Amino acid sequence: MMISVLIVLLWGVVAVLVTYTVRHYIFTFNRLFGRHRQPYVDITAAEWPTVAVFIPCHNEQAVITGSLEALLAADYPADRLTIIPIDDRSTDATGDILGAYARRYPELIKPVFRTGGEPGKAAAMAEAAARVGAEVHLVFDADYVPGPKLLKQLTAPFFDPEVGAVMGRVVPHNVSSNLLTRLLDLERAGGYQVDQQARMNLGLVPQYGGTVGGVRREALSSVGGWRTDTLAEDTDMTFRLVLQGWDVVYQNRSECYEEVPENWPTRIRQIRRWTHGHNQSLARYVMRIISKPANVSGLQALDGALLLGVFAVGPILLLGWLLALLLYYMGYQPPVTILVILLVSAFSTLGNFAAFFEVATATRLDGSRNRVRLLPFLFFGFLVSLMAVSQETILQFIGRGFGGRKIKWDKTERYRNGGGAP
Amino acid sequence: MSVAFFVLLLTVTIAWVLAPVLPAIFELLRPTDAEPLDAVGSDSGDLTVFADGFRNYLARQLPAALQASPGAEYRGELQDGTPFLQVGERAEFLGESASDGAHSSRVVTTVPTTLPGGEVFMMELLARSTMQGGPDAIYRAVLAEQDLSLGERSSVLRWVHAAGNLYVGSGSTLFGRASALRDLRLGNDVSFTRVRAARVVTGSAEPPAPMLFPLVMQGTTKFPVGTTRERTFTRVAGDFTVPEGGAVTGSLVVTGTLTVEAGARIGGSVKTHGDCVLHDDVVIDGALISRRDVTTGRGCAIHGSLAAERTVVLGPGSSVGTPLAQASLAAERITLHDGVQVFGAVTAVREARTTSE
Repeated sequence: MMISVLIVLLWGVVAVLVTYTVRHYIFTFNRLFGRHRQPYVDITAAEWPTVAVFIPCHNEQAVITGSLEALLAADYPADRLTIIPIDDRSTDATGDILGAYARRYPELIKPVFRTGGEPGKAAAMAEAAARVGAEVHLVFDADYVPGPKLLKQLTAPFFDPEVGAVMGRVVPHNVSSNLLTRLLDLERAGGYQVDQQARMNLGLVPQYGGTVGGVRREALSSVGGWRTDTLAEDTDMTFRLVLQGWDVVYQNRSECYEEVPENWPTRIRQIRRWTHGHNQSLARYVMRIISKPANVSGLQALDGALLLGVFAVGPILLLGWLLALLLYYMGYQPPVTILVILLVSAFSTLGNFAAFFEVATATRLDGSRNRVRLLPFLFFGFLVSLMAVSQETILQFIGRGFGGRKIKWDKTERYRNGGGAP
Repeated sequence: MSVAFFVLLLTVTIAWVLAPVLPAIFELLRPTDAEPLDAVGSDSGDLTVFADGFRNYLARQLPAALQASPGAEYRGELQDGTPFLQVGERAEFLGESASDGAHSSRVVTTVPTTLPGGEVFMMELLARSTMQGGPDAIYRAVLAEQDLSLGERSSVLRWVHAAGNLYVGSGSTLFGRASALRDLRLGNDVSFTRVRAARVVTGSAEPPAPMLFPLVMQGTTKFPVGTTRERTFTRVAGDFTVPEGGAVTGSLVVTGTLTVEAGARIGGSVKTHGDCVLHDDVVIDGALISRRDVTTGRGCAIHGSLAAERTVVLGPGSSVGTPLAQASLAAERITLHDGVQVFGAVTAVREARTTSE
């Protein structure tokens, strides 16, 4: 009886892994041989709508100046642009820096200083966005350095009346720092160049990532604004928009530099935060997306459900290994078929946000040369992520639950200017 | 088994295991590709970026002799050693300097110049005054500080920019970017991919100003069953036809093919998941976005941008944008009939072509 239950579980694990394997291969082949969709990126001349650029900040003195200077140099009509840094109770010089910029550019930079209310990016966004009437709300993290044409590129999709949110591509800037940053560079390339763009090509559900992107104010309002009780307000927003019939689009050519974590503890904290938030969205929206509401196609519903389950793949893979070991020591000889499928699919789902062959494909599409040689080391990065994701997921399922974790500013460490004031 | 054999076997095994990761170890220890991806542009994406760069380059590199007398005739080198030719008062100096018409220098003209045709400019050309190109000329890149006219069957390999008007003769091919601060007029059968101007216009005749309202309006349009009213637009499931002279208030999304009969008006933006066919004299107040093909009849006016994922065919006298509102026309392939006006940019992923057929 026990063995039968374990066998059924193992088959279930294999089924999940095979599904994700097929998904990874579809995305990869689409990027290699499919039609590349970027329908809005060539809208370069237009009557541009009013745009508010939000930059949530919490102790960002090391990087905020670079971000503001880049936005001040942006090619966007000044009378239709407002830059809104949101200082959420910083204890460093962030507030002073923002105040100085606001005095120099009073028409353009209008900071919001938060001293109370719920902490965290989602709460900061919710409070600031409610005060702004601009048609398009773009969001950048404080360490991001947008190029001059990025604002127009990210705004152009909103000429499509169906588009509710847009996402650009995040490109690590501090690649050369160490092995971790180089691995994250590979992982980001796979995730954006292959995964996100393939979903865009196939008309599925590209994910709004919370930065280097934006939301139509009308769409934001139609879904009730930013939720403050989640650690992944971006995933949450993606699914609420999709369920309401809005399109989320991805633009691969709208690139922006970011800083990636340079040490493993920071990276693990980041992964655990993402896992918690993503799993919150999984619990909230998976049944609603599977039930395929109006204006959501069958393929979008399937892709949406798989996207929600991305952080569950690691623990499921771990469970598969555990089951295989248990069954082996209980004397069960699995058929060769299941072993081959498990082997192939286990390998093909190794990778946190992109399987290894997706990363290799991304480096080829990017025209980068030798960085792909580091691919074997991704395995170690994946093991670390696997443990962090699994630990957080298990804690959510058996311990703290999906809403129990206290929301706070769990910000990523900055490295530019030595992490101090510029 | 001897110890030596064991050590040998162990060494071979370790080497065997490490072999596949050796490239990774080498790349880690001695990085050869660890710079950030060169993907984040530092320019504004404006088509004039090359022209501006060339203008600045020449200002820095002009020979000292020319900085004192900028309009003089000169043949020599720029400060960085690049061959350089400046045509002064005598326009004939250009022809005298290359009897076979092949110019291997960077060339600057300072007086109104008319070229006989057939020249090959292997480096950039700067026309400080007006220039009239002859037929069958090949240009690497041209910057004109005033009006510029390219003769029939000309080819521009990289970019051309005119600070005044730019005319491109029939049968010409623009392989790179073309831009003008005022009108950019394209003759018949011109092939291009990226152009931008205050107004891009096709054909030789002056078309009328874009229509702001259709000639005939007969009232509102009845939507089929299954239509839903979203917050900012009306969504029609399946194919839909706006009848002749009909009007739609607000933005419209059609999940099938949209046909708009003659003289109809849509008072917002339009998105079609299928093809979009506009008959004569249709007016769209906002943008037109299509996941497939867009075809317009005569005299249609799209006041916002037009972006289609496959092909766009703009009928005679149709327009995109208005003199007061810049707009973009973008698609994989574009065909522009005579009298088309685009107030802004035209970008084709593969090819755009003008036609008088």
